[in-house]
Amino acid sequence: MLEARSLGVTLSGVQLLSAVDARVTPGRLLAVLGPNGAGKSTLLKCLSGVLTPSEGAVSLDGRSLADWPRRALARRRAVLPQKAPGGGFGFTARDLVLLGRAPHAGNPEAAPDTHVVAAALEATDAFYLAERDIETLSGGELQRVELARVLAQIWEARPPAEPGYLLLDEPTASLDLVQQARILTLARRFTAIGYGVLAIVHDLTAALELADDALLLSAGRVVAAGEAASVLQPDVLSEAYGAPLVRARLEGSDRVAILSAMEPPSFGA
Amino acid sequence: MDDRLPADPLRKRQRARVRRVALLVFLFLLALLAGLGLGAVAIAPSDSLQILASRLGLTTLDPGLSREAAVLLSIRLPRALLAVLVGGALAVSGAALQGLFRNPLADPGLIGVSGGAATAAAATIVYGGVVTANVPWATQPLLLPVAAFVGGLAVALTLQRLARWRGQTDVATLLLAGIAINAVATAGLGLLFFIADDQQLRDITIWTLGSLAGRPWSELMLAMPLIVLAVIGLLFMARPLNALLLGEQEAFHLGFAVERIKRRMVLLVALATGAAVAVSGMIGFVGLVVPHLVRLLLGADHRLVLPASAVAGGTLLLLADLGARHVVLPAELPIGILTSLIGGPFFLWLLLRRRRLGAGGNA
Amino acid sequence: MKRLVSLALLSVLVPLAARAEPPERIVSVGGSVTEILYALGQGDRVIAVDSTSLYPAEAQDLPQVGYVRALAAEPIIALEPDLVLAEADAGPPAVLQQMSEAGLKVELVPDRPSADGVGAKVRAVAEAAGQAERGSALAGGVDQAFADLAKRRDGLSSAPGVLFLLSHSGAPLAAGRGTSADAIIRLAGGRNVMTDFAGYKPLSPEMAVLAAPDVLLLTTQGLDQIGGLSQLSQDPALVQTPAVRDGRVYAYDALLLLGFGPRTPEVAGQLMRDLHGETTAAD
Repeated sequence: MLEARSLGVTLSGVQLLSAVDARVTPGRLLAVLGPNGAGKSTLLKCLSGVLTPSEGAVSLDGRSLADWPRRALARRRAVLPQKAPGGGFGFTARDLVLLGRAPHAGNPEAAPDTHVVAAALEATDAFYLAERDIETLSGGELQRVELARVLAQIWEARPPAEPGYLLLDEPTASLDLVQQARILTLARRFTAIGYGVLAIVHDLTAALELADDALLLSAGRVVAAGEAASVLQPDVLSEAYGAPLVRARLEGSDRVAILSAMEPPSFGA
Repeated sequence: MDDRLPADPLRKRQRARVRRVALLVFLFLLALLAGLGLGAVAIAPSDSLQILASRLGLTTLDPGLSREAAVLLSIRLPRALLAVLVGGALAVSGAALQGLFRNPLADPGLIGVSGGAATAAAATIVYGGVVTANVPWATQPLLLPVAAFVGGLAVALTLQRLARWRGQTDVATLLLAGIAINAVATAGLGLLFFIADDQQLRDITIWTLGSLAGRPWSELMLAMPLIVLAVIGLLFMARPLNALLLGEQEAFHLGFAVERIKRRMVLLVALATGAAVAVSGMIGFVGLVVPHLVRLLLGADHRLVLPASAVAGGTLLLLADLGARHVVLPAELPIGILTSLIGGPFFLWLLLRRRRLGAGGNA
Repeated sequence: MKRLVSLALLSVLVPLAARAEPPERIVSVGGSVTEILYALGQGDRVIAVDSTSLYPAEAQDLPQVGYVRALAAEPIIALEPDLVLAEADAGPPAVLQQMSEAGLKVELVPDRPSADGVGAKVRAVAEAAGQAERGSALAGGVDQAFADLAKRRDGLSSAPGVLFLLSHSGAPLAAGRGTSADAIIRLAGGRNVMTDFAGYKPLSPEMAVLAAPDVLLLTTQGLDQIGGLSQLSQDPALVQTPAVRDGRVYAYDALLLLGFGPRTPEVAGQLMRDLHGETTAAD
């Protein structure tokens, strides 16, 4: 279990998070929601260990992150960054995914790297991209290769071994609608293997359809937490985002979308 | 559609890489042989072998070969060794800095390490007399490389101090501070140019142009352990460098002690560059050009790029030195002129190529 | 005992034997060394020179081994000289060492910018070239010329203040104590106005005005660099000196003026005439 307890973060006198509890559970997809500036990325940084919280603590399997050896921690949790790496160094997709295997270097018990790299690329539907220079990939393709990289990093951390955790930092930020859904669907697939996944998500409809749990943040505080369906209520969301959000039933199906119902500003003379 | 390709392309690529590594090593050996075998004094290959064998105590030396032996052993051999050491040090430093800064145009000259070393050396040329007059054991030939090394190291340490903030080293600040320090160093060099008398001026000029000539074994022995140590240390940085290409946070996520690695790397680069500049003067563009060529040939993996850069850097300097020794006989050209002559146009080609590729890397 | 005698004999004989055969192939390093070798009639034995060997003109047609302080060992070894004769500041030292190790005879001649320094230099060059007799004749002539010069100098009543300017790219440098320029000024019966420092230092305009030199001395190369006399006279500081006001600006070839070779007594005498006027200087 990757767990944050009553986190508080203050940077340069600004309170970014206060009294936040969060829990990433193996086999479940947790969607972190909230408007810009709510503290979603700060929470993720605390959970990954990049940022040490001013108050509270983050623990993995009951052990504080600070007490984990770096490499052992890296074999248990991986982070998909918001921004994909730049080109210019001539990396192929395969080279990129291979970087994920760094924490396993010199470990005789680890699976062979070439095998893991191929399998990870396959798991994210990106095997056919293996030999391509990453500079030539589209945003969606590159994001799937990156997903393969973080998957390769925690490849062995699945049952019966101790489960691994994937933290996805707005994986959908620069992708079109279809690609966004595709990444989240893949992440959902990983929870079925036994991983615990946290994803910062802006697409509320996708969160409703794919997430098991949801955590709604606003101004550094938890507004709502629990099962996705219970958190994604229009009134709660509207308050958190400061704009009217509605649920709309899709025509000819029983699926539901969450949309902004804000009046468009008038540009009249 | 074609979800699965046979494993063939991978194997093909690996085979191509092996072939290219073999080519690099072959070129290196060829350059080494040429560096030892060619020169103004003609020495037959069989005589060279005899001289080397006698030096190793395998045979006795034909007394008729004493002149050739002196040329081979006290002129060409230290020089070739210096070319390999300096070329390797500069190229590996360049490759490491490019990785560290995630900027394919970084170079030891860029962050002011070379500039610091050069300024210290020029100061020694101008004011060294004061020291040698008062410190009995200090001689000018000894003082110069020591000063250059200390100058390079001082810049590196200052940089780290400047760029450290709240226990983190900001690479962008490091780069900018390096450029600023470089400007200061250049100004210092300019000041020394101004103060220097005619003879000192010529000495500084010759030194800033770089040369592998006229370095005695004693100086070589001083620089060799430093360079070898630093280069080996940098070779061990291949994995963290690969991770750093993704970004610092990503390297942390992958389990690397990013802060410690950055600090260690800047020190190692200062050590290698400072020691190299100390014994050879300013030899430009090697640190920039060589890692690029190597990446074009072998890809971006630092486990391959770093050692291959060392070999290719040595090769380049061996060949450049061979050129420097032959174009203006019976004099010699400063080698830095040749490397810059080759490096400048190459750099431009690189820029144009990047632009043509749509300025791909947002480096 | 017998062995001691033969050893002693040997030590006498060896230098004699060496001296018996004067070197046939000389690499001459340093402008004054080359000049002296030619003055000794040994020009046809010189096979290569350094880049400061500009006099006599035919020396410039020989292969050049580079700048006196940045020599390269192997090309010189390849020329197979039996003597490398160089000014004391030739180098780098390691290169000289390498040439010795390869069996070359490398000799450095002392280079003091003074009247007896020239004689000593001539003798050393002649000795090394196996021309000791011609050397003492030449050196004797030089010594005599310096002695004559000294006599004329003693007859002078005043010592005009001289400012020597060395100019290359950048600001002109003034010659202080211990420079060859200082030496030649004193030999010519002048007084160097810049004695507060040793060596060459950038000229501060105010210092130039304060020093109020009667005469401005330059090298022709330096004057060209500045842009000639007209340019020099427009310098806001120099124009206030008596030297420029009275048009007493003299320029000499750099090697001739500062080289301290056999031509030095002559150029010193000429400079003396410049400083003191034809009448006072001529006997």
